[in-house]
Amino acid sequence: MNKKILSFVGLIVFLSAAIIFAVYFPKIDSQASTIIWQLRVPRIFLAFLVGAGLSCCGVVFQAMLRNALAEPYTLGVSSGAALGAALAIMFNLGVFFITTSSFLGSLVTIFVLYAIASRKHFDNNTMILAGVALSLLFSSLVLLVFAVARKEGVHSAVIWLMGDLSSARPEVIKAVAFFILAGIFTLIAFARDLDIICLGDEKAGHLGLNVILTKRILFVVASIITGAAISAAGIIGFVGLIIPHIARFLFGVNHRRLLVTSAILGAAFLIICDTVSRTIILPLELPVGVVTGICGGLFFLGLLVKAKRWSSL
Amino acid sequence: MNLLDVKEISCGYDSADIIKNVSFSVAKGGFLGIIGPNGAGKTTLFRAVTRSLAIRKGSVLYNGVDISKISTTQLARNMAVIPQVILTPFSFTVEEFVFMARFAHIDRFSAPRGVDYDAVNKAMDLAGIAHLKNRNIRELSGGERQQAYLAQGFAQTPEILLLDEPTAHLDIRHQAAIMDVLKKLNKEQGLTVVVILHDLNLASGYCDDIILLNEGKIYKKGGRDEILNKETIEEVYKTQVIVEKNPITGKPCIFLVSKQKQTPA
Repeated sequence: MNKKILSFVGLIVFLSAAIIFAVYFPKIDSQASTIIWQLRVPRIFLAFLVGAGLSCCGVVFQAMLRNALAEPYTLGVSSGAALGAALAIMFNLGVFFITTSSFLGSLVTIFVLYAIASRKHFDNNTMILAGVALSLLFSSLVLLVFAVARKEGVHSAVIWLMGDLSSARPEVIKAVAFFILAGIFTLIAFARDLDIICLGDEKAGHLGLNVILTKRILFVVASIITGAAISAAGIIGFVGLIIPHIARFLFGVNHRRLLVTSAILGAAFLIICDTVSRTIILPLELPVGVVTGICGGLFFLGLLVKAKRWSSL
Repeated sequence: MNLLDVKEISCGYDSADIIKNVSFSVAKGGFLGIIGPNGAGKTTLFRAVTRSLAIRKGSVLYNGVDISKISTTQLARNMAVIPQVILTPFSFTVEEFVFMARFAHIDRFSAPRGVDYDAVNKAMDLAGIAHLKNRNIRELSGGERQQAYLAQGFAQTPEILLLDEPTAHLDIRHQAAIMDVLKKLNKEQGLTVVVILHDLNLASGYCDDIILLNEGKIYKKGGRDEILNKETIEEVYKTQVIVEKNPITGKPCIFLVSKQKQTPA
């Protein structure tokens, strides 16, 4: 019990350190409070939400598909959401429609993927390959949308596509905060369901779970979180892959604990990545998706090399 | 009254029925063994009875109620099912794994209560894995893993326990441990047990009633002496055997006869 409390305190300290670092780095001499409160704090808050949300989605997809490589990005859900959002952006629709459309994009992707995977008995290779194929397909469609669209929006759209926390407006952040926080609390309420879903649909049914209904609910909730995160921040890859792995390694696989620790770790991770991306090539900025993509890609490769079999990942 | 009534069920995977018109019932407190050659449909029957596979004809009644009309949660409080293999893609500890059995007993928005912890601890003691409770479920040996499955089944505190070949691939020590604890719970607490067995001598040693399944139908059901005799076994398994009495228990004991020429030592 003491060990659990200690590790939880450690996590909170880590998150606080990340936030303080992000707020005060790099140092500002004049008009400090304006920059901090109008630029940095909302941005840190968004990074917190998106990092926590994507990590929890990773946990959920990994449990439901029983595949440790599943996460919104590798499954193509992020690209689906991006396509939805890109369409809405190009038609100059409002914030509400961008989020809705992004959510629909992620939901459609998840159902296509689920349909493919269930025909192949949720085979690990099939699922990741299907995810990669969907991801490439939707990314190309996003490029198509931008290619045929009017020219002036394209540059910012491309930046957004690579993952960008700087351009979200306050009303977007508020809406996203509602969807992501409500989503994460719903997932935590389903923590025990997630535990037994890991044992396979049949066994979960024998233990008393209404598997089909529960999976539908969880897919919709995870799609809402992913859609909300992507509509505000663009495609930020691999957070949902790296964070649950580290959280599982450090804190165990019990889903109640795993969701909470993944949310905190994910938030801290994205805040740090964003601070790096905003300062590393000053006075220019990198899209944060580039930083998470590099970290995540290396992590993913490392996992493949280290693991003896797919199933032991 | 029978706890479980299987009435003229037929089911299968593709167009053809694998199980054809099978009926049997299990009385409360019974210990039923299901045996049969490979491909006889034992696991298919098991999956139909435990609601994992849709039934095409007939019905399965639990306490007189059609199981398709019982809620998943309600059924899980009364019936525990242990398949041959349980997927464990993540490294749960043995205790966490066994605790999952309490899912149907705990409300979504409440914490586990004392009874839940008691049931889990008792189940781990009974199955003989209390000393492994902090171990990673994926690092257990085959025998230990099967004992963990068993503990999960016990922790569900069911009225009836259905098991699909719990002793497959296990050494004799684990075979005896698993069958002994099932028998003990059956005798002392009235737990109803339905178990698929591959090993005819285990069926002889532990089961009160036996169903011999062949080609998707019940070939014969009855007590051990009616089923486990030379004529019946040779007919169904198409293999020459010798049936003797176990010198201590007097129960039938089956020996294979090799086709190679053998001389007594």
